[in-house]
Amino acid sequence: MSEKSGEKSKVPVPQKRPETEKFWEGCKEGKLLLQKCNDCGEYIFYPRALCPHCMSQSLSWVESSGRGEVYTFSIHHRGPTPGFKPPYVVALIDLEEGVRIMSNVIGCDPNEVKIGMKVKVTFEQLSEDIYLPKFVPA
Amino acid sequence: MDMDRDFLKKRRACLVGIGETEQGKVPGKSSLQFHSEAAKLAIEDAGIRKEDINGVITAFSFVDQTFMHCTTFAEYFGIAPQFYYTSMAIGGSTAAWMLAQAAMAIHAGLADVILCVRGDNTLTGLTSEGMIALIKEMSHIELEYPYGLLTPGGYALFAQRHMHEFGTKSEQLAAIAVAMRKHAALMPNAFKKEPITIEDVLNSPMIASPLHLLDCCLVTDGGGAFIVASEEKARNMKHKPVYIKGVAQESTHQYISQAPNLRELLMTYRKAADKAFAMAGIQRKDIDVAMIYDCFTITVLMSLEGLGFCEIGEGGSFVEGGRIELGGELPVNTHGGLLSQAHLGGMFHVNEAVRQLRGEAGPRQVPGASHAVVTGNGGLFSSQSIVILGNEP
Ligand SMILES: [Zn+2]
Repeated sequence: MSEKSGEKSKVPVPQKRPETEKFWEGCKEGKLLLQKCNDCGEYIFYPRALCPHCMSQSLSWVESSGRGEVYTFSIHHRGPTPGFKPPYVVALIDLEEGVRIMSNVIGCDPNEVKIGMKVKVTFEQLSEDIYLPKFVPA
Repeated sequence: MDMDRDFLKKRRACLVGIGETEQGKVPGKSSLQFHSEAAKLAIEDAGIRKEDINGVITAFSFVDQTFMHCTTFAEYFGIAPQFYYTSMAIGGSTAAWMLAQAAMAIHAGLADVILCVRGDNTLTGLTSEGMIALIKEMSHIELEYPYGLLTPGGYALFAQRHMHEFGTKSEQLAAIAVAMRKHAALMPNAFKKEPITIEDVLNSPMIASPLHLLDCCLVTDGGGAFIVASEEKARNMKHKPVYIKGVAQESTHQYISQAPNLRELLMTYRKAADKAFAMAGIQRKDIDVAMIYDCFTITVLMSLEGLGFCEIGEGGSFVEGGRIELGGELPVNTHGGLLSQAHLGGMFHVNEAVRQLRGEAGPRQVPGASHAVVTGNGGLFSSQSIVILGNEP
């Protein structure tokens, strides 16, 4: 994790790992990529080297619809580093494909965020290479 | 799994000594100093010599990180116990599980007097970089931390969901903080003793909705230790032993985004608790006092549901009206807990249970207390440890 980035200083920029490289490449192209197990058919998030359901190492990358709904959320009034501007919403989003992802809900007043709210993915550029998936009201 | 529910009875393990240092803001001491002072107090409390110890279990330090913590401590303290050593790192679940580890080592005949110790100068010794590193550790570094997840925020996510599903109210969470503060006022070395009201909690700054500042635990300096011995050894020590009667542990996830749905999370906790109670051979109603890991108010509420003291979803009403206060149906954290006494990853929950079961809790004493449950919670609901103690075999 590098703390360095140009315009949005002091916001942590994720560093790619072998398992997540494809994921971040997808984000850069505006696609939210999930893994899907070729053996048991389960969707997998977060990206990893084998299926946590059946141990298969035969996994495909598939594009998520990017649509989901808020399972739960918290309006954060403090951030871990100065780069975060409170209040901001940290949420767990249930994607249509059945996996859960943490993200920020942006593009609306934090007080408008509700459990069950429909959201869709968007991408926020953090560095030359890293586009972080975030969600806006759908 | 069909486990051997009687294994703890075959070579019984008991708590025989406790120690805790000055707590709160205690500048100028290292984590190993806190360890050593607490260990010395526990050894004196047990009425043994340090040479009698043949096992050591330590936790970890947020401030002084060392690769092999148990041996680092043992060398500093000047002991070389033969032959059980381990360092544990399951966050707030560590302290309670030290008891289980010690009981297992004693059962296996690997040791018969085991020192469990933890200390840290988290309040005065941790730099802001160290604090950020801690927050990072609680979240998935790549797929959670970049969203600004705070540790309180991880618990807040499930507090929010609990409110949504069950109608739990902020006032009910606040009642937990109020109860802990009332108890701390009766605890000589508690860090925060000034009384608070439900309104005070609700009016304290929101940290991560729905959790306010006063829904969150303290950050403190201090050291705590306890000694676990075989029943045979315990007979000749200073105090009447406190028996480890049932243990269980569970985990469904590490990172909060990977936690199962709320009900499933609580049901897993319930299944573990059922095992601990079955092993102890007692019912929920036999518990006189509960030491519930209270990093946040919601942790207590959900733990009471998980443990089975009330139905899932009914924690909110269970904590209202003084029911978890001294004099209530189930006094919880009579020492003030992490919310008001001090934060040392649950070591003090164990010590207070021992004082209660020895009848030495003074103004906080639950009359005739014979059984206690002690829990630990590590990560973000990531690891639960459950231990049932009794003052008879
Ligand atoms: Zn699979």
